[in-house]
Amino acid sequence: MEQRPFIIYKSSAGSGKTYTLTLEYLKLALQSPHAFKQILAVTFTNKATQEMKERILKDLTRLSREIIPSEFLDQELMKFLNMDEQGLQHAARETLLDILHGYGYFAVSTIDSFFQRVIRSFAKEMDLQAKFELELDQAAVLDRLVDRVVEQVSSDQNLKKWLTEYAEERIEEGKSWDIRSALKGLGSEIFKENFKGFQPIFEATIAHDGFLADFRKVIVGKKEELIDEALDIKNKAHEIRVRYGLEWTDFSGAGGTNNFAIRLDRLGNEKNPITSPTESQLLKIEGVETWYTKTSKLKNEIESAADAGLRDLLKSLPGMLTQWNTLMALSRNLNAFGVFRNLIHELRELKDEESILMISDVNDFLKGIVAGNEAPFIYEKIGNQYRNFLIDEFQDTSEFQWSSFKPLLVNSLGTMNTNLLVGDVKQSIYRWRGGRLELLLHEVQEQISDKYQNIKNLSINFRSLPNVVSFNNSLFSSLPELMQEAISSEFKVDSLNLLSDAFKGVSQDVPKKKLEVDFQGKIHVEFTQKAAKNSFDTSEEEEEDEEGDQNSVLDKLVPIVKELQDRGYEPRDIAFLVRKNQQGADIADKLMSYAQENPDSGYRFDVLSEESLFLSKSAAVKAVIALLNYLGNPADLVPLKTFWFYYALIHELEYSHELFEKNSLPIELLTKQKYLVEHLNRWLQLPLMEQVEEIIKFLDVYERKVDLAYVSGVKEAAFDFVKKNRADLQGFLDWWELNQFKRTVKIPEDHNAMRILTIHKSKGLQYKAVIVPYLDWKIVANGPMAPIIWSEYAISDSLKTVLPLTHQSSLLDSEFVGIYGDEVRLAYLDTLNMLYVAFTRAEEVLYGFADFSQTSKGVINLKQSGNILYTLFAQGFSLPTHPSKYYWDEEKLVFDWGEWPVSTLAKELVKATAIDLKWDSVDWRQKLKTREYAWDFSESGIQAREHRRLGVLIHEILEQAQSLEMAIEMLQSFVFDGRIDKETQQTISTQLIELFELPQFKYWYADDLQAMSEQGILLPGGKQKRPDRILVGENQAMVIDFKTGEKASKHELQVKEYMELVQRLTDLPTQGFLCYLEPTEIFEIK
Amino acid sequence: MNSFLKNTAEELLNSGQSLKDMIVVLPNRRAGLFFTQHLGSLIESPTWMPEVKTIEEIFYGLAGERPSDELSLIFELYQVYKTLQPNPEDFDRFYFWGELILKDFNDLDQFLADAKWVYSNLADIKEFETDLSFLSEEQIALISRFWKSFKKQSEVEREKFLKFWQILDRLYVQFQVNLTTTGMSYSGRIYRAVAENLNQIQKPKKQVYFLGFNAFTLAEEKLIKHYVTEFGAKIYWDLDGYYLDDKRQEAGLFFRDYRKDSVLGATFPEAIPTRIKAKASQIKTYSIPLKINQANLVSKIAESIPGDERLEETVIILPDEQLLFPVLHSLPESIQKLNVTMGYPIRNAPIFSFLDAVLDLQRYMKIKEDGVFFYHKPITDLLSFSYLKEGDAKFVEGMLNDIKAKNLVEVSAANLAKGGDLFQLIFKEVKSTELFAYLGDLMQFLAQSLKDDAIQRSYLFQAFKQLTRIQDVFEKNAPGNVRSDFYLKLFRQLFREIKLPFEGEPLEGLQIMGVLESRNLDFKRVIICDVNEGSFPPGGGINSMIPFNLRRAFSLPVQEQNDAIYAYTFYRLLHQAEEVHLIYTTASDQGKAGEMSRFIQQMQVELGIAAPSAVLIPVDLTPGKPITIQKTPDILDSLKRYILSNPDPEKQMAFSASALNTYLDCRLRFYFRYVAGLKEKEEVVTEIDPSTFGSMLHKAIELLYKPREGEPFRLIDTHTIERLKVAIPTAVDNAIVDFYQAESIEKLTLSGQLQIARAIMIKYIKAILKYDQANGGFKVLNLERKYLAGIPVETSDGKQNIAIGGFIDRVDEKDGVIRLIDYKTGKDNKKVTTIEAFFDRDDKKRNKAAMQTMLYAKLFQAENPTIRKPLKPGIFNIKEIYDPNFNPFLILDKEEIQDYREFAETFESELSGLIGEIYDLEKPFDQTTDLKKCEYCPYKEICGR
Ligand code: SF4
Repeated sequence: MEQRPFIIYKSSAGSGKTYTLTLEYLKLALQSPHAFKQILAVTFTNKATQEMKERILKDLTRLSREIIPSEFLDQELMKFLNMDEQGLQHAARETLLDILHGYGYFAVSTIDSFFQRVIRSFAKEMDLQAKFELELDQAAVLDRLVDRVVEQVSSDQNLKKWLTEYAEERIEEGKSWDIRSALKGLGSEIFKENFKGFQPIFEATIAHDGFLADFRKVIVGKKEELIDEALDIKNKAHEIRVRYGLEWTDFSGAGGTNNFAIRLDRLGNEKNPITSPTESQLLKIEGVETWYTKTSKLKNEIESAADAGLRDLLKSLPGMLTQWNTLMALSRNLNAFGVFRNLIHELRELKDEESILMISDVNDFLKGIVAGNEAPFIYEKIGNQYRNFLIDEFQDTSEFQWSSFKPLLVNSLGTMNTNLLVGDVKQSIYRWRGGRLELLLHEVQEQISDKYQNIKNLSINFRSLPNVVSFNNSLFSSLPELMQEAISSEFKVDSLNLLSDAFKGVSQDVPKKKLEVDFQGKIHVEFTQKAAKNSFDTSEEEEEDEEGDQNSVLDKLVPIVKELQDRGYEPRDIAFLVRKNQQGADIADKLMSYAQENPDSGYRFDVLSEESLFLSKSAAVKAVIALLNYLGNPADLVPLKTFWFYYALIHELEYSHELFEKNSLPIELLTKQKYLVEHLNRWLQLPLMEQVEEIIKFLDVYERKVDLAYVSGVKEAAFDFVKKNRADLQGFLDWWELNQFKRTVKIPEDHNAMRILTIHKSKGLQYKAVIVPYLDWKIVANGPMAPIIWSEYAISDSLKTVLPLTHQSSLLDSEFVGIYGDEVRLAYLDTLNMLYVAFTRAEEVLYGFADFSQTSKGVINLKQSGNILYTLFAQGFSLPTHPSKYYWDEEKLVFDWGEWPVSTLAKELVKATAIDLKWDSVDWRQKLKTREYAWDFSESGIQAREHRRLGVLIHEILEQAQSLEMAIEMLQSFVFDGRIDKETQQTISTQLIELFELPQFKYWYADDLQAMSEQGILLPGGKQKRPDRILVGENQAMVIDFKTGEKASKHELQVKEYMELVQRLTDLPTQGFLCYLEPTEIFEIK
Repeated sequence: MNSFLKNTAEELLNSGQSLKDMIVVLPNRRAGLFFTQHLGSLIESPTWMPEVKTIEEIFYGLAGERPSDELSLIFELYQVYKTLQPNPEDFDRFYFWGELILKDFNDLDQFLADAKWVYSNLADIKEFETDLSFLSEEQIALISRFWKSFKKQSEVEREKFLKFWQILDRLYVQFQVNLTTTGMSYSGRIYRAVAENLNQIQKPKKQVYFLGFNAFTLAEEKLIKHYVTEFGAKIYWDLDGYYLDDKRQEAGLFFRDYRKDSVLGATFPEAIPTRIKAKASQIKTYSIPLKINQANLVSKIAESIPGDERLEETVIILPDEQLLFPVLHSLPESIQKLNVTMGYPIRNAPIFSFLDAVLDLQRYMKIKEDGVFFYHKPITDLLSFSYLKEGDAKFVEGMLNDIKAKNLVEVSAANLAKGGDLFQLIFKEVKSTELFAYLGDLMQFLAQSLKDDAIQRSYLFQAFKQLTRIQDVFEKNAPGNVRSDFYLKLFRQLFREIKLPFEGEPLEGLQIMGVLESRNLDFKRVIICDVNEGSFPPGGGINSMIPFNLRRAFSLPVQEQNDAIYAYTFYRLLHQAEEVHLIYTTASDQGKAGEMSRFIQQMQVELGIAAPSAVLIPVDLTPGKPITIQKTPDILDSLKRYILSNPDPEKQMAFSASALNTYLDCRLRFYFRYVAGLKEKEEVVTEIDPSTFGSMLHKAIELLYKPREGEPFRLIDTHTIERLKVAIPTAVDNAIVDFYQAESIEKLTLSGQLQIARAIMIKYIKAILKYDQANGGFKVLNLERKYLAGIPVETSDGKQNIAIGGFIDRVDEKDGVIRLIDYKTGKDNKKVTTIEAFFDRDDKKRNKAAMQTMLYAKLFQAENPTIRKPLKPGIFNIKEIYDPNFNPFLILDKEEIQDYREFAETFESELSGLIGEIYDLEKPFDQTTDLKKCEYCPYKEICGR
């Protein structure tokens, strides 16, 4: 068999992608000992990485215990590796242990972290700072960035102009004049690949000052020209009309919109100078009959006027409109864009100052390193050389990422090493992060030589029951076409068959044996009609509507949960998929409050969500944050009252006017209040982490044992914050303000609770029962949410740049029609993919809820996913396997298919045995001691420092030094340590030399006696006695002790004690000396 | 219990040799402390101690030299670097590179590698290839692989690499020369010097023992072997067959090598103990979601320490130093003594933040004609610290208020210094030459004021030591005019890295330490936190400028060696332990997934330890609650203040339009603001909120149109306006000056936001004037004047006359019509559906601005009951004013409202009804159901919305 090394798996939902990937990994890893070190498996998220690792290790562990010949995996491995059972078992064991002990080489990693590793080793070459930190929080950086840029207004006239005009524009649109938030919106583009792809062009254009100003001048000029032109046409038309003695209302259509001729009269308006005939009108212009009504008496005059120039004038309008729209599109973001230069410049400064590298720069940099290189050197530097690359979720790979990987792959393929891409175009939902599904769709295949390629399709669905598969087969065979129709009917854009192409071969098979099981799966999709939107409504109000409708869905969820649990589904089998975290939070609220109101319902409503169980939901957390806010600004009473309110809530005290009134407080709280007042100042001096701790303690939640997971979450937040930032209170509060909705309660995965997660996060996961409550959303965003698309544009050869355009329908009639269409198509594909991901998560049961709307005339626009789904079902959605419309209930607007199994038994839920934690918090300060040194910042140290009492330092030196040389060396080490400065060193050194000049010192430090002071004397029990100097000679011994400060009799006693000890150990007559250092005085102790 | 150090102590004690004649060498000082402690517990009468040393001390002693401190070394390195690099970066930027280079040099020396070979000039690869005789096959393979792939690099990349690489070679050589002249050294250099001159070492008079070593550097290995062969030194190894015999176990990596060695091999004991094998049942693992909750679990475990057990037999090991304080906080009361041995980063301490803010302050200092000024941001930062607050709380509060209220961008040093000693110390101009003294004084001052906070004092001391160092290093070397900026950056870089070395003196109490601090020590009960990949063992790889393959080829340590050291540190703890608790965290955060440590995975497969127990934190939650305030007598009492009783508008409490609008928006919000008296928070500095914008705007127009003092009105015609047009910018400036109570616009540094606001105001006012001019002359009656009126309202106490009032932006008269004008800077429009709709709280498009102007008309009418002229309300709204067809008047049913009086009846009865509701006992203050209203509500934290 011919071995083509480049395997591309095109997978589908539930087709065993992970399984396949693991199998392929094992095939490579088990080939030879340590082969695993040469495999790099790349996944998309940290979680996926984790799971992949676990999966591999689990399979290896199992294989090393026993081989199951009936397992497909085992069979494949034995076949591929040409091993028998024993051989495989042995190899698995060896590899498992090799991996566990060479764990650093076990390269399963996210693209990001792999790239980061490479970047680190190239830091110097890339001119990065040595200790750069990778900054993940782009929003925070942008925040600082925009503030800094706005502050430059005083020194940068250009900037001031851009910003002021921008602010004015916004005011005219009825928005707040504070432009910072809007700047942040557009500014975030600088981190995106969309812009970065064009960055070189951009940098080139702004290289010379005033470019953008010139550019704008030209645009403004051109606009004026167009207006003039329009006025000119208007005048000409006017002149012709008058010449033939006509009024505009004489033309067909009179004063209404059907009168195309009257448009000539409306030209030249400042805001909207060009009013072009519609497409259908344009067709009619050619003839003459359409110019007048049948009954018109002025037929001849009108005909002549048309021929005399009105027709030609009208025909020139569309072209002008295109020009106008183009100019408008260009100018729409121009003012904000004018600030880009400053943003980019300032970002560079900021990165340098704070030694950070933006996470978004990583791909950029790597592309730079890889470009034009043969890849292996990269690995030589980081120390691993990979031969095999396995890339998962390839459809989400970005252009930059792929161009960094490509040389590696090509290099590896060149030596016929196996490489593997796995992905599913249908599940590409990360376009907003730069994911480029076209790569998997066709581009990679075009870029890599055919002779290497081995394309495989995974088409069996192992995940879902037959009904679910069959339903999805039908649904996703029909949806692409319907949506393509929508693209052309709603947006006048050619679909180019993009959706159909991506969903080619969407139908999956089911493993035979599943067809025999009792339960075949159940699908329930329900629609609710909501009031049609008035097209004049602003987008804000639309959102309001959406929220309104969401509540009605919520009410339907509780019965479903009950039903499912009745049918034997455990909480962990059930998942809710949402688009936005807030929707998830609503669901969580609903279920939790139901559980609280109905404690004895007999059902379980525990939910678990990485994204929706916001910390700030908890009263205790609110209280903690409020009090921190109060600490930060004690003049503000609102946080304080907030605190008391939540305190009362936690402790089940009644709140009242007394609590909120600014000068009063209920008596129950007065002692607390007193404590607060007394401790406020002390708390202010504590490090942030401890402030939080103290406040939690003050809140008494540890005793009440409530909200523990939540307050822990806040502590963790502070913990994480301190790690990265200057640990001050205000900084934390600001950070919290921005990040509170990113912090959720963390619950272990194995907790038996229902899952709430976003469709995005659900990718790769599966649940027995899946509920998708909000299936209706706008497909192509507009208004403030409209996407920004970048386009090159050249007004003239010298005036060429790249500009941000807001996606809006007027682009259709502009020079940007091409990118406009791209965006529409991809937006539809996004929605289709999102639906696909959502619907294919279910193993057994699928619930979906969608709103839809139609006008009074029964027209349904196909711009909303809900409407599209409704249209599909209402128009007779049928299942090829069960060709009948029976499952659609027109009245109830419900599609329902599948019978519950006859017998279901509710399982007894096993409660995990919990390990207890201890919660109270104690004062540890008394227990902890730090060591003291001479001249440190303890009270005595500071005093010594102030009075320059050198004796203590000299004492510390003499305690250890065996000679003057050593003393000087030690003194030097004080300097190196920073304890004293050079000047002090000088003085001490002089004093030391003087001391060693003294006859006694000469004798004490002479070589003829053996010095034992370094060793000292050990007493039973471990205590040590260390006189500063012990000398032992042939027939006598000596003890010397140095002292600072006042003379005291206890010093004498101490020396005597030493003398006794030494005498006992040496059996020699022992002399004792006491030497005071300030001033130097020596006494012999008798 | 048994422990390696104790057992060895016993052996030495029983060896028949006198302790006095022994030198015991241990890997670190702490081990020495424990060793002597053990010795002490074994003797019965006082005795001379053996000499207890660390291997470092042996080397330094032999060399008669100690290493200099890192900063001096890096600075010295930088001096050399500057001569070799054409465009050297600043020292603060170089610092960390220098650290890395120095570390590499140290490695090269410790492992006795030929630096010149390692940094061999890549241009001369050929030459290199011909002389490989001294390298092993494997080494050659590694090196040539590197060269080969290197050669394939693109020209540009090769250049980049070479540029630096070629410097390193010369840098090393020249650096050595410089050190010799300056008499400085680093430890690797000292080690190499000793190891390369072994024959000069004099035979020690005492018997030498090496205890508990695991991984030697090559220099150490040579020295120790020399001691063994030449001086009969003895070695005691602390090891276990579990990892020694299994070739895969990284913990035994070094021992296996040494055992094969001809010299060291003989020092291994006959019987290798195997203790770990049987430990499976004593090892417990736990998974826990949050890092912070590890502290709670540790505490739970610590609680179970039997009361009669000695605390020092339990150790808590914290790979992440930051967990120290959470753990300390949670320890049970029963633990009365503890001993912490680890470094703790001082950047977590408030004192660090404070110093950091001081540096910031100085960085943005400005010297102007009239003194020294500081930027507001660091000032407010500093003032929020307790150190200054304690100095003079009143002053601080006043200053903070001033900065907010006056939107001060800068404050003068003179002003700030009024706060007292500390203020004078901080807020003053500091020249770059005075910076050290400045910071030094500040630190000492702070240390003194932190009376009994020993820990914070220690933090300060650590920072101070670093400061002294920098001072010393730079004092003699710095070129005369270094910018302070440079120092500030440097300080910041260095301070950030400082750690406070906690080291408890007494060897008693519960032991808390870092991973490496546990070396050589044995405990009965071992609790380790963060047993996660990346923490234990720490990941991240070796930080080095020398590429991996070259390190390998020259036997410099690579990650493998690092891992082996950590593996040994880990498994060694199992030797004597009777109870092991390993905790790892599962929550993923900031891109880092919580992955269980490889050690646990290894033990699961090889030792068969039990699966981890998952720790569950109860997730129950106290949810928020709706708030409804019933009208109590107290509340009604306070509402009585609004009854019209005082003819002086300044003294009478009155409901304003915004109070009424607030009440309509949300009754509870009204309650908080007007009944409970909770003031809305002042906006943060530099942000110009709409109300600030509004007040300045009003003021500016007032300044333009104001009637002269004493005159009842002022006539404004198109000519006047023509003249006023040029005065707009000045008027705006004066309005700003007035608002911020500044002396003049020049004195006021306008923030970026304010500058933009100013430009917009000018433009807006121009538009207003343009409108006024186009529409012909009028008489200004008054501007920004307060009006007060009463309205009869049905309350529980019967009919009352309730006060309403407010400022009217502009009252003028044109063509016999009195116009009541309001300037609006928001989204407001002029469409009125019905008069009733003004008071319909469910109307989503309720026109608050129009209601307000109608109320103005009412106020005006009440005060001027005799005037019969039409009262026409109007709004100049910024949103529409630029429209050429702008018209300010309210539109009802497509018609302009010509005279308030036409609607007065309905308006007033609705108004009275509304106020009646406020006094209605049955109508509690409750929350709005429209969440949109809460979005910008200052009380939303209370409501939890
Ligand atoms: S947050 Fe909402 S409910 Fe609460 S006071 Fe403000 S507006 Fe009323």
